Amino acid sequence: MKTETDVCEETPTMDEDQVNSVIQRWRDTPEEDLKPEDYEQFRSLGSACLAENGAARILRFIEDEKNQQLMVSMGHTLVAPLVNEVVKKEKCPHHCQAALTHLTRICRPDELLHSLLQIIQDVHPTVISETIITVVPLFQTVLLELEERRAASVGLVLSALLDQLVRLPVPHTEQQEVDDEFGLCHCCEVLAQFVKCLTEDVKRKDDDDEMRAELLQFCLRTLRELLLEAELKQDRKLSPLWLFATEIMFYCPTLQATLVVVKASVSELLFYGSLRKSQCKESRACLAYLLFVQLITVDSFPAVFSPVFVLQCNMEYISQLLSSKKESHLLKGLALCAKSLENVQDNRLPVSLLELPTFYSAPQNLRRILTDCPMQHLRKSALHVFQLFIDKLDVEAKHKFFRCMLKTSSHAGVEGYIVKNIRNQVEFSMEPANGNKWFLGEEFLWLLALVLCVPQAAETDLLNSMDRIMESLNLLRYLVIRDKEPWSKTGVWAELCRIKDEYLKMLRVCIGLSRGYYSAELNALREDQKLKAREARDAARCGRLVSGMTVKHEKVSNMSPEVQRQVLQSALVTFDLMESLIFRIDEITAENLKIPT
Amino acid sequence: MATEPAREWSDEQLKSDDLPKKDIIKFIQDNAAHSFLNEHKLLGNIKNVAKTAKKEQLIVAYSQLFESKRFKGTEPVEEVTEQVKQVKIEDKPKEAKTEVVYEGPPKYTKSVLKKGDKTNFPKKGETVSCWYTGTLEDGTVFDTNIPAAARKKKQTKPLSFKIGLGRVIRGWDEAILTMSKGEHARLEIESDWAYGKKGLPDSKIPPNAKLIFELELVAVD
Repeated sequence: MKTETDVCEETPTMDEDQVNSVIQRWRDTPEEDLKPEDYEQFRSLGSACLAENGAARILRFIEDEKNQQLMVSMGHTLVAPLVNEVVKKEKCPHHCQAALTHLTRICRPDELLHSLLQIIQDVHPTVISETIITVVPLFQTVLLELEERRAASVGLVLSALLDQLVRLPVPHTEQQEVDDEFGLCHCCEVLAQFVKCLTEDVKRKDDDDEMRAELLQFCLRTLRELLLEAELKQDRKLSPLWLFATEIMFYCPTLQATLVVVKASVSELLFYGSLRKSQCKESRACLAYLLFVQLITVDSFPAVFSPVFVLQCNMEYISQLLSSKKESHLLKGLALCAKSLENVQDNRLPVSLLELPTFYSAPQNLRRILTDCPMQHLRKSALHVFQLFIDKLDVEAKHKFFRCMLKTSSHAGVEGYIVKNIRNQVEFSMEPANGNKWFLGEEFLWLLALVLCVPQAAETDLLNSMDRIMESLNLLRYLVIRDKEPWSKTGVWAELCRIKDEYLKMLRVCIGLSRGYYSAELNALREDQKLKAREARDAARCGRLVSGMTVKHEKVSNMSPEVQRQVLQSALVTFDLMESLIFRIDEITAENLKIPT
Repeated sequence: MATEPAREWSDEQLKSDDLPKKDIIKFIQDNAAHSFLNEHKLLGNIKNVAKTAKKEQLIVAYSQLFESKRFKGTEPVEEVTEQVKQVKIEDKPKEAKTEVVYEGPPKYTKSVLKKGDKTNFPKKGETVSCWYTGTLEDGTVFDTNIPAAARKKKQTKPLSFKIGLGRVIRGWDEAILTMSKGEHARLEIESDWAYGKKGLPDSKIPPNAKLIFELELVAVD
């Protein structure tokens, strides 16, 4: 492949006459006889000319009547150099733009398309947005001229553009959007116009299903690869990203229509979509978020669906978003979940819903965020949504959910939180109007047995399980204060007491063991400190260096002795706390026995 | 019962030519019991009675009415029968009886605006399609799927969904099961069977809002 330098070497300095004679030769040659070298030489002449501030000359050359036939054959080779000139912005771009416009009118569309696609596919990372902005209007003209395979070409073009666009960083703050340092916002504006033009065209022609499909694919890709990463806020309604999202939301229903000229609805896309392929789930999740949380096009969404049904449909998207590890996805998933739940009345969701896979995976994802996510604001938000979910379940569903969580979470914090909810639910159930068998009858015993278990028996790490144990003891204290009366109808009090007594017995054993261990640790630490102090005094007296430290225990810690001491002390305090609660429970139980029933 | 009517005309006045027959007939028809009118052959259209009855007869009847006091309402049973005969059977569309499904009385009412084919009733789980407009009690339209321009209706689809599965508000789920294909009805749904205490603020439905729909059932699966 000859490069510009090669040609220059061949014709080191082509003077005006030589250039003219070459050009005349080309004018006289029939197109089929032109060789690849001719095209290449033409291109390099053009580049060289542009390099020497010759944009005006190029324009004149292109517009010259004499050269029209030449332009038809070879003009498309000038597209790349001209676009590069425009992108560089160093010299005046007007001539180049005019030249490009002229070329798009006279050259063959398929050749132009090829040239433009090449430009975009080979674009340098630093000039992505400038290049996109320059080539999109050109693509628009060219594509509208294409007679055959237009739909497939549109698909290629949009795909290529988007491939480059998603390499640009997405602005997060309002200031970043305004600054638009990398040009993403400007590109979105330009692309929106482009797609709008193509969509209008499609709306006029009823039968172009292929084109509709290509445009729809573009929209879906935009949703999952671009908009899902963006932070869209309702108060930034004039931001280019917001406007772009709105445009995409408008196009999707139009484009989803198939054979019959019929405008499908967003509800169909989301709830009944024939686009059930997995790659589309993220796109639809983004769509659901934009619709329900950002309220884009919500006025055309039917206000007749039941909130429970909407939640059910959205749960798929919520689960999808919450399974991601990206902050932008998690934020959207949490917002969509909160929004969908808020519209449902409390105590409404039936236990049958929990059978659905998405109603299992979404709360599990929430739990995972609670326990593993490093970002505090996300954990906080997830906790809020977790509680909201619990509140919407009906009594039987709550019972099942609590059992499930206690079995699967393996995290004392989460378990403690669940136990607190159980206590609240028991309290609620004790009110005369709210009586139910799930928290006041035999069914409750199952749950209680799960709560009041000490899985590793005597080897339980009480400190690790502290949250859970404290909440469990609180629950027990509540139960014994209320005594047997609320349970009289269901006759489970005796069994309840048995479970309680076994638990407390085991706990006492654990506390005893743990306390013994930690006390021993603390004493050893004190002894060690005393020893070191004595040695230091001796050394100071004799002026000798103390060589090495004797390590007395197995546990080698990075903590200073003082911190170690504090840790051990606080552990002992914790055991005291637990024990005092147990003592209190025993006290109340004893009092109850004294009072005649 | 009605108080006795006043005896307006004196004998002289009655005999006078200034007093037309039909006035007397009207008076007697208005105030006399049905049986009295029957006996005196004063039933029916005033013009016809005026043709057949002589003035002397009317004067006599007038006097006898006040003497016998057989005014309207003095013979209750036959009055009611008379009233019943006079009542026309109206063709107003009645409010359809709504089916009572578990949990107490239905919380919606339906008025049929246009009858359906009365054969194709949707069953639970089937897909139905409808055009609808939803308004609040104050008349605000909060939702419709009927495009404003008539020509656009060809390009738009009616809303399709499965009925009876809790996918739509309960008022719709229950009411549409009572509709047949082609039926056009007006539904008034109480908030409990619509969006309840929460409403749907994003769609401009306030809390505890009663919703009114005009719904046309276009297709049943």
